[in-house]
Amino acid sequence: MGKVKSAVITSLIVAAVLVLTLFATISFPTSNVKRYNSFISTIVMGSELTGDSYAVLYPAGVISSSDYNVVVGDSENIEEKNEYEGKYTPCGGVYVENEKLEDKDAFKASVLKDAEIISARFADKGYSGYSVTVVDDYSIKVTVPSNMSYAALKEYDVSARSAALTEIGHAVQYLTLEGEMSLRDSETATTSMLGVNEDFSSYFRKISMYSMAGSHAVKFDLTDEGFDKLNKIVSAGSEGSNAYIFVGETTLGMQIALGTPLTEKSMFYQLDRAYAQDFSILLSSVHSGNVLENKYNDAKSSTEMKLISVTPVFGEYAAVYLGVVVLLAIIASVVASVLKYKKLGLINALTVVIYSLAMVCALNIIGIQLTLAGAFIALAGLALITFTNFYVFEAIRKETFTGRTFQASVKDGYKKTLMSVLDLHIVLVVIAAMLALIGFGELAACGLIFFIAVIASYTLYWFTRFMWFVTVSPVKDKFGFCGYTREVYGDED
Amino acid sequence: MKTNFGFSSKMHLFIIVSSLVIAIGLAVGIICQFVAGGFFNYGADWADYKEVTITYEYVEYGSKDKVVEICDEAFAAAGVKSFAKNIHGSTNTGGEITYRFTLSTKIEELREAVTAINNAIKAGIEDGTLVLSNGAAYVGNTIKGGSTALTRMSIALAVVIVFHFVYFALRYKLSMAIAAVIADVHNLALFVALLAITRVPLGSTMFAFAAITVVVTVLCTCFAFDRVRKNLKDDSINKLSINEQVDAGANQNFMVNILVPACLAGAAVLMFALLSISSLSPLAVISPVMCALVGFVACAYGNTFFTPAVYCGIRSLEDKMTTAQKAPSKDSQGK
Repeated sequence: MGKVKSAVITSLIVAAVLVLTLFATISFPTSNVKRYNSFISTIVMGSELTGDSYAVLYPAGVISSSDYNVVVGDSENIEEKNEYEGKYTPCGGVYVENEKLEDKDAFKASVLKDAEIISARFADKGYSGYSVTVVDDYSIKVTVPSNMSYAALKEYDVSARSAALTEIGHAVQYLTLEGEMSLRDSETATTSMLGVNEDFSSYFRKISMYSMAGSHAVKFDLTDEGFDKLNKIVSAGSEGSNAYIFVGETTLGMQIALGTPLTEKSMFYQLDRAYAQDFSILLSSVHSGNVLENKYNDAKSSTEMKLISVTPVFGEYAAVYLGVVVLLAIIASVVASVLKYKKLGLINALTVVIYSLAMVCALNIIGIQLTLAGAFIALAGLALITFTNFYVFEAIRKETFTGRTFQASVKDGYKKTLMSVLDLHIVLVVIAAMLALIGFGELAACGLIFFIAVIASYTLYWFTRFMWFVTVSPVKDKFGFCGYTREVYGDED
Repeated sequence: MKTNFGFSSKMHLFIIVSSLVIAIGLAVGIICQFVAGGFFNYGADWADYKEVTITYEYVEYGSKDKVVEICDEAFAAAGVKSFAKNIHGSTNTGGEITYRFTLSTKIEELREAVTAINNAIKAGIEDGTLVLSNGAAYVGNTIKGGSTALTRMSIALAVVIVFHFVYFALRYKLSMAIAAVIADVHNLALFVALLAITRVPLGSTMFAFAAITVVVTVLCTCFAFDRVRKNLKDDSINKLSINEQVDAGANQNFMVNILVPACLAGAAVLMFALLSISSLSPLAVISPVMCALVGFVACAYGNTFFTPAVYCGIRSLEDKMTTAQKAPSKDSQGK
């Protein structure tokens, strides 16, 4: 390859990488009201980096001390004050209706059981870290990751922040719904369309979330008996009217058209991803018999629910510090490769930068939640790519010791290491896929990150070979370019 | 860097060291299961705690800081220290200030502080500095979640280890496949044992770090056994005894086996230092960072010292079995 061709290709690639690096890392205002948020600042991060959100759930008959003191402390409303003082008893930091305390142990046990069911429901959300705590025996505190990016956390991206909080709000609202499943003939109906002793959830074999090509749905698999029974109800209904699926006294907005008999034993309700996930978890839980006994955060009989955002445990700028660590790891890899392999090290440096950009873009586009463990697995990918390149460079160095020409050494070096590199990447890519598919929550995210890292590593292994060919072609001292010392034989003098 | 360690001759030493650490870890874990409420020290998202929440509404600008000041003084007077503090809300919509304490903090001391806070706030309301505020102390018993994550992680890791064995048995040699599986299990067991011994507060993030430990082990065994496989084709190395062959391979791979986990461990230490500054509390970041550090230490020791030594033992056993199988067939030919 000629000097000009080599320079043009190298310049184009370096320029493309530089432009992508700028867009990936630098945020800037585009007008007085608009702002461009870099790829890196819009990566969704775990609770340790962007904080948690929590809500305290008060069962019917329990109110917070704050709500109690608002009424009791209001000296103007004596009647209500007297009512509260007679009605509630302080239990730790909450106030419980005396009626509920008649069978105190049973009430406590019901709250604990509800907390366990709620914990299991939130576990199915696949959060990187969440907690369900029974507070003072009579209330439940649910804490989940805020699922925000750095831009959302710092309110540079207000819409993303509000979307993340809305999603959490919906999750808390729906996953804490009490009561059984029922089918009703209107959205305001208070009674089931089924017989008194009929259990609507027994009509279904399984209720799950179904995803295909970016669309999401709640899938109801009917049993044979359930199919027949539901078909009778549907056929008996007048055309144009609907039946509504309820959990407790809340409609989920899912309707069954009456008048037209069912043809399939599976029913699908297409929804947004978050709604489809929340509804499928809730319905599956209720279907399995995990029904909450108490009604939570009903403004009439308990304290209204508030969603509170918590500062990240690692501090407000934890994500920045994490970025600094990753940057230092990249710099260390670049410096080590340049020191060891001179100008060839720069090709490895370019590869490492491209790998980092690929990871940032992938995390951003796929929407994988980055946690501390995720950052470590991405660094393991960085180690994989660096050590793979070093392994090949060393194999080529060995070939040069045999007295071969530079081209022959590179060719043989790559040939001899190909199967080893392939074995390494095949094992790792399959393992990463297994972790992503079988694992759950943070583990699955780590598996997915490593899957992308291994694919990037193998692709960049060939990119290194290409760039080596492009950059070394016009160079006269090819051995010096790579930091190799050529074996000099006596007869060559 | 060239090294010349005799890994193979120290097989028994490494096995004893590993067995001891794993046994101590199991013993500590089992004892703690009965006396300290858990095999591990459950912290982070699984920790029980005590908490004081101060709710405020319509506080004038600057008064939020006054509430925080009142609270800090009250806690200091009561002799209690929180490990986490969260200030939420705005001055026009109101919000909450939350102080979290360890479970061992006495609730009476917290209630005493809460009374002091409420009295101070009452005085503030009367003189017009504050509008409305209320403090209360709570005890939180956290449900130990993670059973789904634990089950799925166990299945995932089991499948990963089986695949590691099958692939190595097909592409490398059976003895290498056995050694690779032993390496996976050993490093994972060491990870668990060290976490039990060090009593690092653990949450659900430990599942991910357990998987990272296995991934790094697989990465290092791929490099290590590839070297051994190549050495088997090298006549100059093939002439050596099994011990010398394994030692040669292990020494050639010493840097990779040490450097991969060491670089990651270095990143963990750096993260610990920087995040401690960020959070103003090393205790807050100790859980995931120590998890990572323990995993990488287990990998560095397991891949560099334990696995080559054990592989040497397996190779010797394999050779003995091959010789024993060949001997009767020679005898029968002689007859």
